[in-house]
Amino acid sequence: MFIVFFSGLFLPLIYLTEYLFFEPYFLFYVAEYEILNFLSIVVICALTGLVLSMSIFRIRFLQASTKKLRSGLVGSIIGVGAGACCGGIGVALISIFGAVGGVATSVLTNFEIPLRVASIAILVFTYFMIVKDLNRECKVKFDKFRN
Amino acid sequence: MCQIIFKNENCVFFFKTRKHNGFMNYFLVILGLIVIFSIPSVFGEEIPSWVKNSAGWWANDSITDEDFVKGIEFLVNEEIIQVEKNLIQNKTPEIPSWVKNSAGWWADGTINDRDFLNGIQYLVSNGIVSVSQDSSYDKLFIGGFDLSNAGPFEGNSYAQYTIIMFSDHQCEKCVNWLSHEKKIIDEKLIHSGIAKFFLLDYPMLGEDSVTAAEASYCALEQGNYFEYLDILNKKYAGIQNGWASVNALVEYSKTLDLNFDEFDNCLFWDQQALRVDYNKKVALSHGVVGTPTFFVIGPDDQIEKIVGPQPPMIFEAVIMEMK
Repeated sequence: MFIVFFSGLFLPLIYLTEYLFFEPYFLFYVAEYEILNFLSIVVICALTGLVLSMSIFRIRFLQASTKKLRSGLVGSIIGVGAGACCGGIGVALISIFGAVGGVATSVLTNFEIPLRVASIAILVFTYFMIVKDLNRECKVKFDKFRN
Repeated sequence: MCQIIFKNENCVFFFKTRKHNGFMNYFLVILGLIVIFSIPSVFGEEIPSWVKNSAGWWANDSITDEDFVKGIEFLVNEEIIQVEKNLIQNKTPEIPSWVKNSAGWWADGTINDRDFLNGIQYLVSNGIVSVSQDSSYDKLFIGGFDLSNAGPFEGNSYAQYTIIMFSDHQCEKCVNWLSHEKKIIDEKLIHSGIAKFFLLDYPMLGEDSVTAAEASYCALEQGNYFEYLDILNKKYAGIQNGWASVNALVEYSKTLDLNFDEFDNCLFWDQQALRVDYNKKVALSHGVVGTPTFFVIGPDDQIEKIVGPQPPMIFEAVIMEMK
């Protein structure tokens, strides 16, 4: 499930942020000056994959609430949106939202690095909270089962 | 009314009759100029000597202001006289007397060609002599792209391939591409004479994008286009956060050898707004949605679109495929 979430987010994101191209040739290209941006995308996608898969496990098997799933999603969306400027899809999305999209673009681009850092922080925090909850909930269920 | 055109005895006889009306006189002036224009020895950077004769007749009121101006218009448009054509400042209806005096002194040999040309330049700059558009602003179509309002291209005019980049000055990826990948393309394709490079505006990230594009053309008017673009790339700081506001753009101009008032007026009065808008329409008409977007045009008008900040090897591969 992690791989599904990771690749499901990673591939569209690298297309949106113009590291993956389909015309005139199929190309994956990360310039030297874009390495840090690219790595932050990889980290965000990996954390999102982890958080989402663990949240879904909790919801499906432990009947937990969706709160942590929501916070994980917030972290992902912030991380995904930051720096997604100026390619064709990004512009098309902006134009749907009009002036709000324009303001969002400027915020997401001007504060790209802080937003990515915040996104990673939210996802890491969410991950640790889920791990803590999983340890507790699984232990309770195991004890109940044993008893 | 034009009475005497040439001092040559035969021609004087032909033109002296008053039966010719004004239109015929004007026609004969131009015809005479065309005949002389066809003589190869007339061409060259120096002012042809027969122009001096005309100047002398005008200074002596042998020909009217209107006829002299029309003659000069023809000479300037045909580049027989070389002056700056695209510096029209104020429209002045009358020819100042000092210009006529200069023409007379020049005909007498009292002043040199340059001083006479300064007078002609004044007539051009003040709209008294109407000139056609500078040849660089003539319609320029390459591969169906109207580049007549683009900035000057980089590379050789005889380069077979053309690379057109649609860019926004507030687009980070455009700025990064121009600062990095473009240098490799300069080395491999542009300086080697394989391709020439045009930069067109597609301002889509806010008002400051439009203003920055206008500022670049205001700098172009004073011959500092590429230098100003360099400054814009170096000063890039985001989208709509003030680095490309009018005040900031005017400040940047101070670091260049620009006439500050002229630049300020150009930007303040949006003198280049139509040009920027025109380039944007060119982009939209060719399906440009985001920036950077490139088009590589081959010698047979083959067109390949490259979307996004792709590496130089893609451009080389496209050109290889076109060959």
